Amino acid sequence: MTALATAPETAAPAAGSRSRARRARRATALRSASFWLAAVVVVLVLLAAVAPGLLAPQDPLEISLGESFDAPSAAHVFGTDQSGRDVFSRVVHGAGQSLAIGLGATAIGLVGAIVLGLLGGLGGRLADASVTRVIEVLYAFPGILLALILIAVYGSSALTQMVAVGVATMPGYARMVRGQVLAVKGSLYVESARALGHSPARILTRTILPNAFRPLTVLVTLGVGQAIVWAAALGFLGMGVQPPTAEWGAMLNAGRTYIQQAWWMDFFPGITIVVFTLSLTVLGRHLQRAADSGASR
Amino acid sequence: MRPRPALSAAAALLALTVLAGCGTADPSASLPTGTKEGGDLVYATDREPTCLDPHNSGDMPQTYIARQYLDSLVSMKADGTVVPWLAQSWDVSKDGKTYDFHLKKGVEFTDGEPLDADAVVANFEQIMDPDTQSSTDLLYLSPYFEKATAVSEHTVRVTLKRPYSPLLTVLSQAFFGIESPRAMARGLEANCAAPVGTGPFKVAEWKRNQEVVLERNDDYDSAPADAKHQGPAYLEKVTWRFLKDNTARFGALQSGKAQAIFNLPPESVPAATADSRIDTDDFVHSGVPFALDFNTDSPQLSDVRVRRAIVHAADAPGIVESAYAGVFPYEGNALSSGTPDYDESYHEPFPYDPDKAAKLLDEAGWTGRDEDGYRTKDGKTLTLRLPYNSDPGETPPADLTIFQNFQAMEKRVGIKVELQPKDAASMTAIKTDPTAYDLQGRYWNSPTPGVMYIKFSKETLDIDNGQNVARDYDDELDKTLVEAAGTTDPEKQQQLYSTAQGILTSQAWHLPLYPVQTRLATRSDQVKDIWIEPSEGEPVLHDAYLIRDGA
Repeated sequence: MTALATAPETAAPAAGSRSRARRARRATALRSASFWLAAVVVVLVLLAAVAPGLLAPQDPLEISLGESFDAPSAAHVFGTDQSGRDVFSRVVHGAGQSLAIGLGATAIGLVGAIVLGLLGGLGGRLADASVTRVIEVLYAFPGILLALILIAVYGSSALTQMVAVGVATMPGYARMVRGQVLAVKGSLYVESARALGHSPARILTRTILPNAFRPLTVLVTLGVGQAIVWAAALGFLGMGVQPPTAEWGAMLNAGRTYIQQAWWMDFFPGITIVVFTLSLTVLGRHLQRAADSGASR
Repeated sequence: MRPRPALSAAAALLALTVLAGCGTADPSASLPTGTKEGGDLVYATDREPTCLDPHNSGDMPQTYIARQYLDSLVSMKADGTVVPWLAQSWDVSKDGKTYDFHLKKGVEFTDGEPLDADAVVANFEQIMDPDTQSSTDLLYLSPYFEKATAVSEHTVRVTLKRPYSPLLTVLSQAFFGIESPRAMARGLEANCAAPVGTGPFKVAEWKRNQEVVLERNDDYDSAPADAKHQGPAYLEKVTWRFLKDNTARFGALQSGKAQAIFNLPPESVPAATADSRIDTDDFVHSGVPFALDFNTDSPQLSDVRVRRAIVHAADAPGIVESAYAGVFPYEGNALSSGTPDYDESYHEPFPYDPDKAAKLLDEAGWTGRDEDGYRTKDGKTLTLRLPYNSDPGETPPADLTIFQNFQAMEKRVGIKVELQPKDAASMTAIKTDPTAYDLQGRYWNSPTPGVMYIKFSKETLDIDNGQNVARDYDDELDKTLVEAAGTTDPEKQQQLYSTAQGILTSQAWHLPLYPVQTRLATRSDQVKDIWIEPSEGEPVLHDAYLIRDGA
């Protein structure tokens, strides 16, 4: 898409240029449409997380035994589950759980990664060697496995789920931070800051960190989506928040049992996870592009 | 690092598919149509036993598998009559305290030991030995059993402390299967791994978390009088596979990777019914239904008004209906409907009545409210902890739904129920730690109404192995049940057991929910003649055979 978008700027035969320009316009329009669509989805999910009662006034835990397994209808747009609970309310109220775990995990992963990355990037050869080894060891385990180990040891709760996913995402961020710090450390502007006689602390906070972290912000937007998927996977495996709490992964797991008679129990939480993480990805890409063009300017 | 939203979910699904797909048996072979010889059967079941010797502990999966390699002294028919098995006849003394069992001659254990009176005596001794850590067998016997002695080479005498009219019924369960004394002498651990009996199959290998391989006992000639045939089993090998995931297990049957599954999950019943290749065989257990037991050692539950309030607050029939999709019926009595001397007048003793529940709680002093709306007394919230095994093989999804429904209904009257998922080890510890639970979901399958004495008597409370979950007793109830066990007059038994059901109802030591049902599902195009015996609903594979090509 990037190639397409920049195509008109290069010299092109006059005959093809008009259609190419049209295609480029269409691509730009599509891109901005997808951006706005994604933004709307993310805003809606954020709203659901902050004030679920606004979107779904029904209590997600309130059962209604006479209404179990009702198909989607005007009264229950996403249908009801085996206890007659409103699936829409549960999806909306589950947003808070999923988002909290996703953001919390990413925050935990980031903090750990920054400590490791700075230590590796600025701490001298020995520290760098040890940090690199730690990152490599962590990398050796698939993220989800690492999370499973932590949960097996510390039991399943929202907190362990958050920490587990956070630790699992840490090595990726840590490696990036370290690389960025190393790159920025040797740059001319850091050298000039040093020549200006700035204190090491000031160089770190004002010069190194902002420049090292710019690519990280993009990565984080993408990372939140991944953390949510991982948290949902843990919930699906019964390793996360326990029922009857509304959480997307746990809902998928509960619905799996009844998939032959009540497809909506799995479909709606599933599609929500897909659409939401897709939206985060789209936003992340836009940010990335904006950051890239900003950097080249 | 691009996020791949669908990937993790796909991986989980893939794992399930792989689980479902790991079968080996190939029922097609070259024998002529109509023969009942040979073949390997894959039998997939939900729960794995902790020990293959059913004398130890005594949980349902043990009795199911033990039936395949152990014979019992007697066998029970569906009408409750007891027929010969390893004991070809027996005499009962007039006072009902001495039983002489005359054993079949020429029967050998699969390790070559002879089945004689000494071997049977050794079995009773092993059951009563604390080292065996028997729970089920011990509770059935210890209030009555005095000793077992060998009168002659093939006659065993069982002497009781007091009469025990259900004894023969009790002994028909595979829980009381007779094992080789030489094998038992190896110690509990070795015997758990591969007990030795006189049965139609022998344990070849136990791959933990996976399967038990059973091989045919070619010399078998001691089938019970109610078997469909005498002599060795038709099947050469049985792979007793553990597939605890409901969806995977049913998938294994649909794909033919397993010829029989146990249990057919309730939520798969509609799909199984619609499939002409699948036959189902339902068994409604007698005994104490699945119930939430109330721990009366907990201060809040020592008050009968609170216990009754809990029962009134729960729409138990609705809870069961929603969780078991109408496939399982509701039962509110302390006995399941199929149990002898079941009294129907206690079927729904405390109807759903939240107002009455609220009134009872007010009377009991739980009048305050905390910030979440739960009732309080002296500043303490009315909280009930309900620990359950988080393993879906042990707590099937429908039971989890029951717990959630119960939790939601109790919340409406201001009772806070905490669902606490626990691993298997913690659950075992909780059973004998009265401070660790307020409620537990439990059942007691049994062919006799005498089971009420096991669950709710002073004697079994004193044994203290966690089976008296309510941790309470009632002198009147104890007296009634001892008297019932002491009489052989059916009318008097009926009357006494009915009184007992009334006492249990008024005590409200538990919230009974549904009679335990098990469902065998078989591929009718691949296997025939697996039947369910009536004492404990044990599947019998001795008469089963695979259908050949063209059959």
